[in-house]
Amino acid sequence: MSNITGALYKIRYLDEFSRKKTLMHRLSPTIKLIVTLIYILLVVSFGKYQLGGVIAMSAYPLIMLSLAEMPAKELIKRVVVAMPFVMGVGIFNPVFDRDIMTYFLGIGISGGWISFLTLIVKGVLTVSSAIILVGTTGIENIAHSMRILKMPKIFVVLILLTYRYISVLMEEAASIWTAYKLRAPGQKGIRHDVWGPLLGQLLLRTYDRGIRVYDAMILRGFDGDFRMGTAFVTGIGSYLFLLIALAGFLIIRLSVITMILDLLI
Amino acid sequence: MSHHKIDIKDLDYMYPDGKKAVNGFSINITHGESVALVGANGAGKSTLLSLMVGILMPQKGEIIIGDTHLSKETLPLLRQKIGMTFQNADDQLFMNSVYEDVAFGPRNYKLNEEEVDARVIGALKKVDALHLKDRPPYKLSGGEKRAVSIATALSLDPDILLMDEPTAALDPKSRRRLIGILKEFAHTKIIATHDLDMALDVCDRTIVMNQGTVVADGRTKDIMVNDELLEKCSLERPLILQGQNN
Ligand SMILES: Nc1ncnc2c1ncn2[C@@H]1O[C@H](COP(=O)(O)OP(=O)(O)O)[C@@H](O)[C@H]1O
Ligand SMILES: [Mg+2]
Repeated sequence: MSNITGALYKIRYLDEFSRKKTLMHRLSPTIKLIVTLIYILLVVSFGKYQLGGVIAMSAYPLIMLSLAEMPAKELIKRVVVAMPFVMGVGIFNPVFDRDIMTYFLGIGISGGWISFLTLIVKGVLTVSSAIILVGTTGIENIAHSMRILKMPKIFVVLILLTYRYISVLMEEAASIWTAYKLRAPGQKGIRHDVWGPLLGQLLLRTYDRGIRVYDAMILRGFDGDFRMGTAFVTGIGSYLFLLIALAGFLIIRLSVITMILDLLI
Repeated sequence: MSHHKIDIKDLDYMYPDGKKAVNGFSINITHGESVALVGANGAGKSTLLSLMVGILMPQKGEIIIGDTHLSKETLPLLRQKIGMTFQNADDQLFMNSVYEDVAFGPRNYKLNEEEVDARVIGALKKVDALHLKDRPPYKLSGGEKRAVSIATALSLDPDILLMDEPTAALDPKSRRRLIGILKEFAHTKIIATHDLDMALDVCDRTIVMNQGTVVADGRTKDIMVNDELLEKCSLERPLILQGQNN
């Protein structure tokens, strides 16, 4: 039982973590959002065989992680959840792309495997940087920054509510799980024949709750714009962060390009 | 313009699945009244409250708050004047800290941050919850959540307060405290409940609802001793009045 209740508190871990006051937390949300978006674009822009380049890009989340004092364990747990989707996208690369590209310890490695690995590293890095952004900035601040950057209201509200819906979904799942466990003591997992009804109930319950939470927001004047109390001040530190991060990204990105040009010549 | 009176005329509401939850409901509530809306589970109390804030729109009848007819156009205006708390306080608390949650409404109405702060502190003080302001709402006890959810409504400085089963799922001590707080409010209020002891304590007037319509409307003291009526609506005399004759 204890781990169920424990899980319930973990659901909001990122929200709670975002209220810390480290160096990273204090930077301007808008700047952090811009840097993260640029980072994600750059990571994605690497070619499908540029494994070395994307690995070099992991410097950014690693540095952020330590500056934000975020436990790596918490990050990894969340990244793992997203991995099946990334793997699903790349799983056939090794099957179709069998030309040997390089040798490692005398074993020939096909292009398919390299592009598969590159894709996975890209996935890990983009998801990590997004999670670090949420954990150091808070989803409401991010939503507000998105509006400052003139992203469409409907898009921002969608992201915000989806994020909220995930915690609602997990909380309902935890309570259904608890109710099930109480009446099925000593049983490992959930019997396969009740999966269907439980899942149906979960969807209905979260849908209802989602609607009620949304109603509660509307009743208090919510019109799609999240307003935060303090105006965002972009201090000298934030600009410095922007400069250093962009310079770092460019150095990694360009040096890889030069390396490749060198190889070709 | 006074927003404090409520006029409901011949209201009908049917859920999409054909369930008629409110059926020819009419009431008239004047300034500063404290009204208990009692009825068994499924009587239509929550549906009626949702209609009064435009979460649901009636198929027939009208709702007039102050001098304003409730309609899609007037809703934003009316919602500023009506505070509502849900049966489940969890549905109402969605921000990361109690302070942010109570500030959510005032900020949406674009008050300046000084005013927002004054509203938040004021509302939290009224429900005795100022010490909770930096806590995450989902880690509070049931009674604390309830207090904060009331503060989220109060921070908009409403003229009318609607509450759906505020004492449900509270332990006796939290319930006592809440009753104390509710008695202090000078607002026009409607409290949907089947906690008849609380109704007796907080509300002078009681409206009994059954199958979507008004079956009795009168002074709480008189209604609570009308065993025949209570029995008919699957309710029971308040404990404090049990064993007593009329
Ligand atoms: N979303 C819904 N869809 C269909 N029927 C509903 C819905 N919500 C409530 N009802 C039905 O409407 C009636 C009144 O419900 P409700 O207003 O919640 O009563 P109360 O709050 O007095 O317990 C009940 O019979 C209930 O089953
Ligand atoms: Mg109800």
